[in-house]
Amino acid sequence: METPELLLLGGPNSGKTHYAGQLYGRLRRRPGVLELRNDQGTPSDLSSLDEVFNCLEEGRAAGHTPTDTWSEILLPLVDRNGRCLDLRWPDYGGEQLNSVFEQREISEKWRSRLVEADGWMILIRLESETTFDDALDQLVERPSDGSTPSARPETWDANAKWVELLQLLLHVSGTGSHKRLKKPKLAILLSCYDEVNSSQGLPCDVLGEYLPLLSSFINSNWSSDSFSVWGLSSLGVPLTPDNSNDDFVDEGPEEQGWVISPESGKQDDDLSKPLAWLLEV
Amino acid sequence: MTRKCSNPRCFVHDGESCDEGNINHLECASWAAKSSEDETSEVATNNSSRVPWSGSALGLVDLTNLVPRGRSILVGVLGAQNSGKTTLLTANYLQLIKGKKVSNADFSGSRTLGAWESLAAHIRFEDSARNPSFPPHTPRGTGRVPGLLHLALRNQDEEFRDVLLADAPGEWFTRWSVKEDAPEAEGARWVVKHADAFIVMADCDRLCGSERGTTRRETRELIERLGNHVGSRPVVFVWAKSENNPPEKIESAIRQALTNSIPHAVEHRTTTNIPDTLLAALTNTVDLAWLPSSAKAVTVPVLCNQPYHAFRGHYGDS
Repeated sequence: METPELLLLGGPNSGKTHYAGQLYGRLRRRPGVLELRNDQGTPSDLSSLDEVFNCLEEGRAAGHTPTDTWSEILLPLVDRNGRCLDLRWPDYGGEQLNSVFEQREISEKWRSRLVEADGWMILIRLESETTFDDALDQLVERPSDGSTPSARPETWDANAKWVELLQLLLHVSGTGSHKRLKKPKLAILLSCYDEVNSSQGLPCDVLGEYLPLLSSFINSNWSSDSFSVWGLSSLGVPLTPDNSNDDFVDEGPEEQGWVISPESGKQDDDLSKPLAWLLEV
Repeated sequence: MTRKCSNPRCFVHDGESCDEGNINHLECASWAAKSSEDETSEVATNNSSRVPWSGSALGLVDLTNLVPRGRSILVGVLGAQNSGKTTLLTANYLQLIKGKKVSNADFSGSRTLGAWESLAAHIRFEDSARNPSFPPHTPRGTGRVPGLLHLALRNQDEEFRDVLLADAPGEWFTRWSVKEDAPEAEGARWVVKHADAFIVMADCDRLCGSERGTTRRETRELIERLGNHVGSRPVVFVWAKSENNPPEKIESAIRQALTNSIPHAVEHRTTTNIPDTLLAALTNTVDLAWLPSSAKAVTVPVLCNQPYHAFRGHYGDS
C-alpha cells in the first residue's frame, strides 16, 4: 500500500471545496484514471464534504469553509493498473494560507506536511488576483505632478505575493532553489477557468499572461517535467448560493466540470487527471 | 517580542528564523544566554517555523546566509541626489513583473520583495483621479552600508546568479567625490570597494537647467573619483531623463572626463517614457559582470632545459 502525501494550497474563494466535492463525485460515480477502491467502500467520514454535496446536488454554490477548519478525508484509491493508494485529502479555510503570508510563520502541522509532501497542488483563481501591470504606462501617460500623495495601495501585486509565499514554503520545507527542483512536484490548477478570458491556448501560457513573474519563477526553479499547469472548472458554469442550476439537479453534479490538460489544451471530463499526474499514476 | 537574542546576527525578535537553525528559538543556547537587552519573561512557546529574511532591503548580516549559496553580483548604483537611481531600479522591477527579462535570464526569486513592492507602490495607484509619482528620495540615514535589493536570475545555460543592487542615497556619493575619506561617505566607500559593476547616473534634466554648471561639476568629480578605484570593473554610464538634451558643450565635457578616467565605460540613454531603455541599462551591467574576468594563467618559468630539472621547477638550479 502506498500512502502518498499531498499538499493542497489555495487562498480563500479559490475553489478548494468545490473541487474536493466534484473530485469525490468523479472517483465514486464516474471514475477515470483513478477510482475509489471497492473493498474499502466509502470513506468512513465524509462529514466535511456534506455541505458541498448537498449544494451541488441542488445546483447551488457551496458556502465558505470556516477559517480555522482543518479536516482530512481518507480516499482509498486504485489506479487502472491496480496500484493502491491511500490519499489524505485536506480541506481547510483558505485564510490560513493568507495568514502564512502575512505572519511569515508556518505552524508545525503545516511544516511537517510540507516536508513529507511528494507533490504540491496550487489552486489559483486568476480573475480574483490583484495585479498592477500597467503602472509604468500610467507614469508615462499621466506625468507626475511632483506631489507625493499619502495613500498608496498596500496590497502586494499577486505576482509578488505568490512568489513570496512559495519562497517561504520552499525554505521551511528545507528546499533550496540553487539547483532546479524535482521534488516537490507542482501542479498549478487555474481554477474557475470558465471565467478566464484569454486568447492564449495552453494553461501555462494563460498563467504567463496573467501572472508573468510567478510563471517565470516556476519555470526557472522547477525542472520542466516536475511542474504542470492545468485549467480547472470544477463546475463548468458559475453557480450561485441561491438559485438552482437544472443540469446539476437532473444530470447530477458528476456530469459537470472539466480540466484543460497542460500539453494539448483540450477539455477533459476526468477531474482526477491533475491528481493522477501528481501521484505519477 | 521585546527581548533580543544574544547572537548579533540573529533577528528572531523581528520575526525571522533562528540564526542557528532551531525551529523553536527558545531551545537555542544563544537565546538562553543572557542578553544585554531587557529581560522580559517569555509569554508562550511557539513552534512555528520562520525564514531568515523579512522582505525588506538586505543588510550585511543578511548577506552571510544568502551569498554562500552561489555566485553573486553586487551592482553599485552611483549618482547625485534625485538623479533617478531608485527610479531605474523600480522600473526594472515593474518590467520583471510584466514578464520582461533582465540579462535574458528568468526571474527565480527575491529576498527583498517587500522592499520592491513598497517602491513600486509609489508608481501604482488605485484611484484614477490621483497621479502616479516617482519613488521618493532614499533617506540619507547614518548606515555604514546601503540597503541592498535582491534578484535571483537563472539563464538558459542554467547559470544562477544572486544580483544585489546597492541603492544608496545620492548625498553619500556627492560627499565622497569631494572628500574621499569623509565620515559620512563610509557607505559610498563600501559600495565602491565591494561592487562587481557600477551604474553611474547623470541627470540630463539638471544638466539642462539653471544648475547645469554645478551638476556638470558634480558629475565630473564623481567620474574622476570613481576612475581612481574602478580598475577593470565594468561601468555603465547612464544619461538619465534623456527626454531632455543637455547643451552639447556640457555633454562633451562630461564625456571627455569619462574617456579620461573610465575609458571602458559603456554609455546608455534612459527615459521613463521608454521603459525598455531602463531595462537595457541594467541588463548591460549585469551581462558585463555575469562572468568575472578570468584570472591570469600561472606560468612556471623554464630555468633549464633538462627534463629532470624541469620536474623540479624553480628549485632546479640549487
